[in-house]
Amino acid sequence: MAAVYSNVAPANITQALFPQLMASASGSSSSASSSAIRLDSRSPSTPLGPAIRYSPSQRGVVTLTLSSPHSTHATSTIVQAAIHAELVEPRDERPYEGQVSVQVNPQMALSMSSAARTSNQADALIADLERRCDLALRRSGLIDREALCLKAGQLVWDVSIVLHLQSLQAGNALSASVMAAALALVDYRRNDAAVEAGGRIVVYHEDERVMVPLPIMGSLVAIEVAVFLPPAQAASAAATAAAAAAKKKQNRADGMDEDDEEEGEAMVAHSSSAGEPILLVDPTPLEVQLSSALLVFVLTPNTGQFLVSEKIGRTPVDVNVMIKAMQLAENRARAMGEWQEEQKTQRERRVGKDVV
Amino acid sequence: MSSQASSSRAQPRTYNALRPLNISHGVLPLSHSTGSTSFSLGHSQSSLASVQGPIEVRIRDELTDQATLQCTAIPLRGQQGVAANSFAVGTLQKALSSVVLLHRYPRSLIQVTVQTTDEAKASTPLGWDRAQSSAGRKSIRPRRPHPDASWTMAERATSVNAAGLALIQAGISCSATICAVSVAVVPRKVARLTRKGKGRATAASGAMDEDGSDSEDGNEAAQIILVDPDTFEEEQAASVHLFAFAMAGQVVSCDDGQLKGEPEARLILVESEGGKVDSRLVSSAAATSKRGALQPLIISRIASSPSLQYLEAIRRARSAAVGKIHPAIRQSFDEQLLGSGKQGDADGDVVM
Repeated sequence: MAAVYSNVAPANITQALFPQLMASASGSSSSASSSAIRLDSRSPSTPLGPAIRYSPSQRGVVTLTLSSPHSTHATSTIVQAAIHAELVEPRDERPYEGQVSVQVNPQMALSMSSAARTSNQADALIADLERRCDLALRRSGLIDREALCLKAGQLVWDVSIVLHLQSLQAGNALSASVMAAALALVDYRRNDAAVEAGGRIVVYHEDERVMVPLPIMGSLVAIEVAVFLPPAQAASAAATAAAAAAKKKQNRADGMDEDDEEEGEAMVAHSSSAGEPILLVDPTPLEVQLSSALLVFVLTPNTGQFLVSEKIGRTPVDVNVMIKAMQLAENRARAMGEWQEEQKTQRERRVGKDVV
Repeated sequence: MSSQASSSRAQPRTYNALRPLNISHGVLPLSHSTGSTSFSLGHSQSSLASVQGPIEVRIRDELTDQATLQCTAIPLRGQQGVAANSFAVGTLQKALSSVVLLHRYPRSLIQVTVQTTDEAKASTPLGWDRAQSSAGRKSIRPRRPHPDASWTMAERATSVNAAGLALIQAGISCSATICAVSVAVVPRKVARLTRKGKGRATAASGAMDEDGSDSEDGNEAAQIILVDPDTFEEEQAASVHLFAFAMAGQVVSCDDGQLKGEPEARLILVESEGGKVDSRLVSSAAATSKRGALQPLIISRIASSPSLQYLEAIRRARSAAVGKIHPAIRQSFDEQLLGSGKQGDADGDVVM
């Protein structure tokens, strides 16, 4: 076997912990994904259930909880998003655009003993999360930055998104963060401001003019899918990867997803091995650690446009597996999009009555 | 939104009333933090505290005879700046280390993280002309959510309460329960707008009333002590204060042959911001005080001799802590540990 990679699980451990998965994978039936049971009693395609809580006192503060449908409190991922908009001077090179900044506060979730925690691991996790949130929230065009401009070259709105990671026990930090931020952005209201005839800028107090929503286009959903390759396929995949890595460089997908298919090309010849790979939706941290590869997607639910499409893990994954995962992601995204719309309409109905 | 203000204006509080308390234990999953508690004052101010401990400590932070207490405070918006860190390392650590029995956990680390989960913006009440200059303190600090903007006293109070509760929830030995209360001294015209004081009702009769506001005087610049101020009141206040009490045990006194016990409250933390306070208030308050003599106060760590109004502010805060916060804390633990049917005995055990 080729060199041991740190995040490729030896096949025997996977087999020991998920005997049902491996047993059904070696069988030819494709009902593996529906009959197997995970450690938290979910099936491989059951996602974590979201629950949302809007702040009762102000707009633009949202707490999103992702928890397993069977044991709601035992492990959950809780992310709180807070939005704030302020008028600032624009950047010199972009005088017509507003600014969006994303900040991730992991202290509550990652506060472990400084002696015990491996700081590289935690820092890498947070850095990856920040980078993907930045891609998803800032560079995706979710917030129309040109519409944030008040007076070109002088005053623009600066939208700051703060993500407080309160608990990360159920993994899926990106899903929770992206959804919390998307819902908080839609909920937030900023002060109305106008440029008067003489060029003077007036910012109206909330008692003078109704507060105005931010220019948000569409919504976002993030999904993680863990890929478990059956043992035989994993071994041969690793061997081929060592040979192929010398002449192929890694492509990191950023935007459209076709780039990732190149990574699976080396595997086409070896795809016929015992059993199908297992795809787990919304994997817990343990499942992520044991998986052969982790696929991360951020997409818009309505149009199905992929904004972030990444594969993490050194085991090459066949292109068909990738496409199957993306279809799973699309279906899931549609369901999450509908859930988000429902939350928004419920919020609109309740605002002004018993809450803010 | 003005609709929020209208719902709170429907029933304004009295001068000494706190916003409704809400305490939730075990908010974060147990596998992550040893203890977590959320503490809210009304809808507009709440904090979430999480405690890990006792856990392994770095060699350079290790203390051989006691635990290392590490506090972190995270504001809702903006970055942690000077204000958050000074609150964490100064105020919070000082308050917590005086009640936690650190010597029971040598060579270990107790980590306390507090985050403000809700803070309401100042909503101006009806009848307040924004253009008029406020008698409030001129602050040189930037407005929130700048990292250097100072934390409001109500925010600090909820954070200290949440942290104290999370420590108890985590099972860490403490010598007392912490109850923190914020108090603001505001001009009367502000208090009349935002709160319901007896001064309004008896204005016609011209008599002096319990809250000490002298209607006959008609002096709008006189000051009133408000307990648990909201953001607008804090902005307009001449001075704001934070008082934290450690409540443990009972002070039993014999009054006309009857034993009376009430919880003992030691003042362990005092923070004040603001200028001089009006001393005229003091004499009227003392004269019309319902109880005959001022309650005996146990005050420690106050360097200079405080003014009488300051003592009055402490007295109000203490009665709020004893009367409202402490029973709410006991009830929340009773509900959690004993089931919701049982009523906690607010007086605790009295040993004859």
